[in-house]
Amino acid sequence: MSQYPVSVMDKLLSLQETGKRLVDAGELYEAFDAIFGAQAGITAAGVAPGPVLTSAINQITAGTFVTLPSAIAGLRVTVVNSTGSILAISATKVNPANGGLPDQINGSPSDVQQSGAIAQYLCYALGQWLQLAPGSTE
Amino acid sequence: MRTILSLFPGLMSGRRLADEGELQQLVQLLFSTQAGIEGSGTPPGPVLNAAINQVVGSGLHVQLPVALAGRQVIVVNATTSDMAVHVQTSNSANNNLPDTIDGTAVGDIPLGLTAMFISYMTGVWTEVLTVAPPPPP
Repeated sequence: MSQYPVSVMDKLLSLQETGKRLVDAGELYEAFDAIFGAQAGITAAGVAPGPVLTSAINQITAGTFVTLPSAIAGLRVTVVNSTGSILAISATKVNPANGGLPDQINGSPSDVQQSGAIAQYLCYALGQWLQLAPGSTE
Repeated sequence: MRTILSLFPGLMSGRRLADEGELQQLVQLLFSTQAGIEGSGTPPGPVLNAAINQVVGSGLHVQLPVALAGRQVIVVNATTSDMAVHVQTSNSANNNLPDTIDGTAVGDIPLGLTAMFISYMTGVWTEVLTVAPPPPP
């Protein structure tokens, strides 16, 4: 078994057995932070790979390159591209939870997001991101 | 500045009795639905309190809740016209400033479409529209 969590649920050790008990409220917070956590005004880098996005909802306001966090199953990341230009999204090159292998986005090391677009990245399997573009921005 | 998670101070690390009320609120933020909401004929209209909201009838005005970073609200336009979605004019979590949707006070949802409103920063919504469904064969 990996020493690293391979899914979001792996992080919630106190919730993995049924029955009434004291739960680790910090784990609950971490779980909900993975859903509701937001960070605005992120500056991307001018060269790849760029800063790692650590929140569930991320607004990028400048720069070109950002990197998704390590792809562990169940993680979802929303990216709002407010830069005024195309944004390049890289997958992490070394995912410790996946034997150090590189992650992929739609089967590639990186993907792009048009100016003004909002996209969601869904990790459906360890190491694998799927880019979902739910629609155009206003 | 407050975020949606800052409303739940009971979620601190360590094994403890969690506040069931807080957990219920968090689950409501994720899974709550309200169908058959009647929009208003005049702005700003009823406040949408659920995570997923279906608006029906001929009234075109509805209002989002206050924009707290991390909140997401889905609005299904099942009315008979394009809809107008208004912001809160005073957000106590943001120095009582008015919220905005992509820089304006009103967002619109064309007839038959669904919109997701995402607050990436307290006081600010951004709108994502679904694409129009294909015509029936």
